Amino acid sequence: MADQRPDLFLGVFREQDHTLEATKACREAGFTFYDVFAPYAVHGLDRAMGLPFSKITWVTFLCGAMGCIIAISGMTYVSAWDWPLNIGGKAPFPFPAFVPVMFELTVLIGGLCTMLGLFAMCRIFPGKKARLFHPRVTDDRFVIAIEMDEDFDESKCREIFAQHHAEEVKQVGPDYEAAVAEGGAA
Amino acid sequence: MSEAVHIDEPEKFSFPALVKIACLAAIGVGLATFGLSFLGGADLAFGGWAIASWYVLGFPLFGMFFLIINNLSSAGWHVTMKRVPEAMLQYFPVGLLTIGVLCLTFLFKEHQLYEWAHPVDHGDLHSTLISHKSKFLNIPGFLGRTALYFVLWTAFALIMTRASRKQDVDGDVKHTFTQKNLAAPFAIVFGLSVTFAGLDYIKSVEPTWFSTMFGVYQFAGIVESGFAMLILTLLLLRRLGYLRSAVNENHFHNLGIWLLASATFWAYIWFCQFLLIWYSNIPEETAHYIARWNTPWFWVTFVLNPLLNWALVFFILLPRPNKRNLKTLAIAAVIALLGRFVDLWQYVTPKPHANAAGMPEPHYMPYTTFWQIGIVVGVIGLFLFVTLKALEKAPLLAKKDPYFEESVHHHI
Repeated sequence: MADQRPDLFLGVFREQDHTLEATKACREAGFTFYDVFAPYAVHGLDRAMGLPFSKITWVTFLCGAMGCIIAISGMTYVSAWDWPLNIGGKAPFPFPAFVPVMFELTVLIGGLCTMLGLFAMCRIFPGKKARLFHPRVTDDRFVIAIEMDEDFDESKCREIFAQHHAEEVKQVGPDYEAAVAEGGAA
Repeated sequence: MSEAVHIDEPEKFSFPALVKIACLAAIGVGLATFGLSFLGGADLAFGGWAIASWYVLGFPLFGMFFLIINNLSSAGWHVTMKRVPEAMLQYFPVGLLTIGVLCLTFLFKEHQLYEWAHPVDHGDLHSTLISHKSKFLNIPGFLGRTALYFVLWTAFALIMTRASRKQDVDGDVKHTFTQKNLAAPFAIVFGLSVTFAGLDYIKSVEPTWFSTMFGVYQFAGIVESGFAMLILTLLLLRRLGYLRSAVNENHFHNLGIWLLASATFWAYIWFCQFLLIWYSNIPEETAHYIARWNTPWFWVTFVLNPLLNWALVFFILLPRPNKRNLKTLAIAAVIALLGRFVDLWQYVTPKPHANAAGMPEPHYMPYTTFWQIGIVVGVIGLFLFVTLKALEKAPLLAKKDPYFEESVHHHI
């Protein structure tokens, strides 16, 4: 499987603004991003990379709606249908009393599914090895990783990276994990 | 972030004649509706006036809330639009005038809006309860509290705007600290005064009803309608060619989030008030809802009210693009403003009384009183006139505010 992955071309940057500009330039040149690594959430980076609007909102909305439906149907079955309960002299289907639970389950299931959906979409899980490509990417360095596919033009990419003050430019082979281990020593 | 924002729109607002005429026309509609409504009874007329004056008093109170909350949290994003809430604060003296007109209701012995003003002893529990509450609900107390509220509110408006104007001249950061120091105590003053003013002007229409949530319920309505009004005022300024780049879709996105959140907060409080009373089932509390549940008011109180104030606003503004689209944002804001009228209307107008069987029954019905919205339109016209007039007196952009740059480059 590892040999199907394209080689990556990496640019290491020191400044956030240079990274953003370089990302924009790479997108305009039509390169395919593997990813852009940053020590913190960089404002506008998603737009610079041309990432589509996140679909996680749909996960939240649909799972929240599902939580609401689970709450109302469950409570209706338990306290009005299967065994009608008389609580405080209220009618057997006391809708107002259900509303707080509907709200709670909407928020609970919506929230948990958002978290799980995020994990699934980003393919992260406990124990996953981080692919960082540069030892300081969690500290004070930014890395742009471009996939070396058919559209890739190495001289142009080098030029863009140099123009935007890249500190270091390097190529890694298809075995990313080895490259990460190597990068750690570099 | 790195995109440069060029502000090339005019910095000085001039009140266009056309808008001025529209405001005056609205005031005319309001006064005519108010005058004609006396044909239906003084309590109907003053009821409409109470709705309208408290509705619109909510806007400067919202301006106060907005400035307090942003100062206390050291927010910067609002600085390019802060002249608008500051101008809203200038409505307080005029608001006092509208409450003064409301006080004319005390001259009427018959068809009194506030039953406690001239209590009649029928020798029943109802009369006993009202006389029990007369230590708080009496005319001198009402007038005294009104004076206190307006002294506090106007003092806030004066100190806040003066600090802001002084900063326009010298650019000194100490004025920001003045505003922050003022905001802290006035957060408490705001909370208490809104609660008590809401009790005085609105809640006391049904003096025998008990609700411990009424203060926060009014606060929720004020914040929701206030954000709606702020959005619409900014859109009006935008259409007139002002603040086009300084207040851009990112700022409107923030306001949309606020409107969505405050609508949801309103729904939460509205439902809590109902749920607690429904659950405990105490006659003094449930009478209020029974008068609305079994009558045509049901559709107003339990359907239209949550629909306009929450459901429509919530689902319109839920997707991110709709908060950034000025058209959908404007639609949501208009719906929220209509909802605020419905909310106050269904509280003030029914005026329930016990029928022969001892059950609460509304005195007025929705299909004969919906025109009271005309009075609200009139007082909103008055509010816009005062606010836009006040907006002329200062530069539209607080360029020397330390947060100005941050606000110009606000981006979400």
